[in-house]
Amino acid sequence: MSSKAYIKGSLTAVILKLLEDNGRMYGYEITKKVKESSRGGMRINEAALYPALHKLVSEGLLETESEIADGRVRKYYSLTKKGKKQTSLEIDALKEAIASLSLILNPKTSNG
Amino acid sequence: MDKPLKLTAEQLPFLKDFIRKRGFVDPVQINEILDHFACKVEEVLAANPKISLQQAMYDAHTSFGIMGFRPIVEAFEEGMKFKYKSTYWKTVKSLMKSPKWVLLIVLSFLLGFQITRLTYLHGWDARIGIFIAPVILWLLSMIADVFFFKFFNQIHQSRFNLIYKCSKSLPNPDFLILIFAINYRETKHLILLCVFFGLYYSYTLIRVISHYRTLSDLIEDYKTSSIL
Repeated sequence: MSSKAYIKGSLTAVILKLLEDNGRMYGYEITKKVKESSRGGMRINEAALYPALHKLVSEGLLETESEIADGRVRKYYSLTKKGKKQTSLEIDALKEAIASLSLILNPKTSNG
Repeated sequence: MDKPLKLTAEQLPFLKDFIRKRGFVDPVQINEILDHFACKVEEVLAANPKISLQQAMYDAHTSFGIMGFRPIVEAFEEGMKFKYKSTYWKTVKSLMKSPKWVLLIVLSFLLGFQITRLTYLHGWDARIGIFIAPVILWLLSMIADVFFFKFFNQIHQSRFNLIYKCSKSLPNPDFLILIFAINYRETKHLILLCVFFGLYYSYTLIRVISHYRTLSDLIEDYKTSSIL
C-alpha cells in the first residue's frame, strides 16, 4: 500500500484544518498549501480534491462563494458552523489514529 | 519557489478554447475548470517563461493526470445534483408546512374532490367523471412542461437534463391513474374515490411548484455564472 492511500484517507481532516487556519481558500490554493506545508511530501491531485470538497459542501461542512479574481471566476471554500465543530473532531480522530499507529510501529520508544 | 505570473485578459479566451476542445462546452463547466487551469498555466509559465502559452496549456493539462478536467466537472455535477435535489425537497417540505401553501393544497384537494363527486352524482358515465380529474392534471402538467422547455435554449443540454431529472424527484403517478380510471367503471365508495382524486390534485400541485422552484434556482445559477 502506497503512502498516497494513507494520505487519501486523511484528506478530509487536512482540508478542514487548512480552512480552519486560513479562513477561506480556493481549490488550487489548497493543493499548493498542502504541498508547501508538507515540504513536498504530500500532494493532492484534482481528482481527489474536488470530489472531497463537493462532498464536504453537500454535508454542510463547507460553504462556497464565487468572485472575480485575475479576470476569472474563483470559488472560495470556507467552514460553516457545523464544519468548525467537525474540524476538531476530525483532527482528534486523526491524531488518535497516528498515536495508535506509533505505538505499534515504535513499541520500544513508546514504552519508554 | 517561482513567483507566479498572471495571465492577461487577452490570454484567458485561449484557455477557454482549450477547455472547449476537450469536450467541456457548457459555460458553467468552463468557469468551474478555468481558475484552477489558469493557476496551473501560470505556474508552468513562471517555472519556464520561455515556452509558449500553447505549450504551457498542454503541460498544465498533462499535470491533471490521465482523466484531465473530468474529475473537476464530475465533482461539480454531483454537487449540483445534490443542490437541486435539496432545493426540490426543501420546497416540498415548505409547501407542506407553510399556512399559505397548506390552504392552496386544501383548495386543490377540494377541487379534485368536488369535480369527481359532481360528475359522478350528475349521472354521467363514471369513466367520464373519473377521467376529468386526470385530464385536468395532465393539462396542468403539460402547460408546466411547455413553460419549462421555453428555457431550453437558454441553458446547455447537459445541464438541462440534469435539472430535469432532479426536479422530477417525486414520482409521476399519471399513468397509474389512467389504468385506475379505465378499470374503475362503477364504485360504491364515492367518498373514497373523491378523497383519492383530491389527494392526487394536491400532490400534483406540490410537484409542479417544486419543479419550478428548482428550475428558478438553475436559471439563477446561469445568470450568476454569466455575470461573474
